[in-house]
Amino acid sequence: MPAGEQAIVSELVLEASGLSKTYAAQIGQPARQALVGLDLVIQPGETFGLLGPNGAGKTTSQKLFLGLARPTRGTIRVFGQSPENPDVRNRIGYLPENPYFYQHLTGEEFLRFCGGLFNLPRHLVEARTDQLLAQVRMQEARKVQLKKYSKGMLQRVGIAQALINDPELVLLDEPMSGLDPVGRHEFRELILDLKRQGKTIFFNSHILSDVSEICDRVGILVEGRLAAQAAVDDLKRQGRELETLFMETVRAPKAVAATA
Amino acid sequence: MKPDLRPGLVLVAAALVAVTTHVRATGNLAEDPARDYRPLPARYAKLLATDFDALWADMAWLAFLQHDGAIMARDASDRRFGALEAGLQTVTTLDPDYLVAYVFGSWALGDADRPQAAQDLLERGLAHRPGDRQLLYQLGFVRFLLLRDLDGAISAFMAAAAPGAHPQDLAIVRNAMKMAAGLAERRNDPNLAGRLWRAIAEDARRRGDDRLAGVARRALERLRRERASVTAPDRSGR
Amino acid sequence: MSAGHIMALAHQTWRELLRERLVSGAMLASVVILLIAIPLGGLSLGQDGRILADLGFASLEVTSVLLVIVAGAQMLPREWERRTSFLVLSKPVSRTSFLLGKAFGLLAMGTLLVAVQAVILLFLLALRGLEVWPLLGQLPLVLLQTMVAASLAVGFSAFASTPVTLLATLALYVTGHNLDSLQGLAAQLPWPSKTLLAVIGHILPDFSLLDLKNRIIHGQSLTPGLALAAVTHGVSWCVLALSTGILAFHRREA
Repeated sequence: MPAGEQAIVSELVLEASGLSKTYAAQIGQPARQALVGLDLVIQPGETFGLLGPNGAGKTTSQKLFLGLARPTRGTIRVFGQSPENPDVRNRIGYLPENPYFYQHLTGEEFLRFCGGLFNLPRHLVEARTDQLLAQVRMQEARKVQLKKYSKGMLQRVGIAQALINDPELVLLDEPMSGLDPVGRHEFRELILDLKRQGKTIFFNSHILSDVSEICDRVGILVEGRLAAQAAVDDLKRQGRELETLFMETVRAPKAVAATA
Repeated sequence: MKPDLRPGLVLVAAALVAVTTHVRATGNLAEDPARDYRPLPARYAKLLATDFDALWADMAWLAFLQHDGAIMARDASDRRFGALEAGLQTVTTLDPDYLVAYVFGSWALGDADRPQAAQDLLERGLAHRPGDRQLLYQLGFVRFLLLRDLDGAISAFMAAAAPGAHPQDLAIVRNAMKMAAGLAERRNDPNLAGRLWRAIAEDARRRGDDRLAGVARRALERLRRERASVTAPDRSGR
Repeated sequence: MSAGHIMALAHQTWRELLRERLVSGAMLASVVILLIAIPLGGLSLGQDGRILADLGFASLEVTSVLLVIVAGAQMLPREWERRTSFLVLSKPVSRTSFLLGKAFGLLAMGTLLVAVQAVILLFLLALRGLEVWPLLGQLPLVLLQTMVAASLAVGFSAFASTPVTLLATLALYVTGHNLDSLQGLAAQLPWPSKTLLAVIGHILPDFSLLDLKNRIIHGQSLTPGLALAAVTHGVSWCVLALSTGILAFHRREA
């Protein structure tokens, strides 16, 4: 690989090439292809939304990006390295879908615990805990155990933990699901704020309105295949609704990769 | 809408509990404790103990006592100690150092008219705890009272009184010595009896035990008189 | 592997376990057993001290070992089920640190259980005028048994479900206390069962070696050589169980 090309590759936040994942058959369950030949490049500072119906492979792709699962075929580089290298994860923040955190911890204890996992100095963890709790408007509930939090509060403290290490890449898995309209609005504002700070954001969702408001670019996964990719501005310029693209892609027989 | 069956279920269950408790309490199910007591055979108990041998020995000991006690409580003349040996065997196999099981067990076996089994039990204990003064002392009694074996009893008491006792065993040593001395007199062995009573007298004087010293002095006096009465006719007759 | 991660996870696990009803329930059960031992001793013809000590130490060991097995068997499967493992492993935490952190938290809980029960038991024994110092020698080995049981449970749970882990660990614990019987049985069987059982008897953890109760009962003293053998055996099994668990855990996928 020429030196110039190497430099370009290392600037990419995330690069997946021919990424496939098949879950092995288990008793009573046949083998399942969760992801088929995913090619994807995420640039620094980009906000990318991965759309798709339930079971399309959105969560699997994030697990692969984090090294929580291993690809059956293909390669992934995150900041130019394998995601199985724990050091890479120093630069990533992650909010799982329907997070179930350690319920006996209070909000601030939970953030301290997460900060501890990044080996951050204690004073920095304390400062970030205060700052993030303020940012997600959870100061009043900071000493309340997580088991007493509502879904919206859990999502807010969840995003706070994803930001405790001041990450360059933020992975959010269905961050809006289960939130009421006020919660969704607040969350949208939060993500836009992160975007303004220049963070790279990759999030899975099936709520199209949120995606079109927040994202620079979207991809649509259908049955494990990336059936469409589009820049949101291009869609707007063409006067096409994201919803139309989504429905066309999902309904198309054996969706064919298309780039708007 | 389906009827709620739960309250009914609770009532039925409560009634069943009440009936079974009543039946138990009125003794309709009372078992014969002698028949009911079936200790787990020693080898299986050992196999199943899973290193909790001491605990199972305790449980077997309590079961043994309960059985014995239940029979005695019902009828003091009842002596159907059918499973005595098996129970004691289980306790002492699980814990070969269960001293009280040997001592009390030998009395119980004696009560059940099984003196030989009582002696065997104590000898098994001694095989595991050679020279144990308490077991030897008990063995002396079993041989004397149950087996009428004076020689055997004297040798057991003598062994119990052997020199070199731990301070906490001195009481046993003194009692064993007294028993051996008394039995030696009965067996017409004045030399042994005299030697033992002299040792007892000296020990009692040293400790300031006037009562025991008096007993020993009187015994020695008695021996002297007997010796004199035995030798006197010889002198007069010849 | 990072000591900081292990400490953070061990602390979190410890706090989580402290709040478990299972732990407080086990403590309560142990105290109830001790309280039962007191009147029971009165029926024993002067053996009350002995019965309190035997029942107390047995309950201390069984409660501690069962508790760490049950808690250990649930720990990792629960992390996967609740997806809290995703949260931790999405951070720069190696799987080795994750498993060791959880295991050390459990071992700390086991130590606390043994310590608290031992204090209660020794206090009761002292109240009854028994000399407690000779009994203290049992405690480090009870602790070692608890550690081995906890390590086996965590090791199994890295690749097996909770019921399978429970059964396997309990089977190893019970068999490990009966290796002598197993060898005795092997001697009576024809080949190849004889060889198979003999081999099994040699490769399983020997919990009897970590058990001082019977040595005291059978009049043996714990020689330095025996103590060293017991500690080496116990620690080796902890290391073996946890390292096998780590290997399996590295292969596991979310």
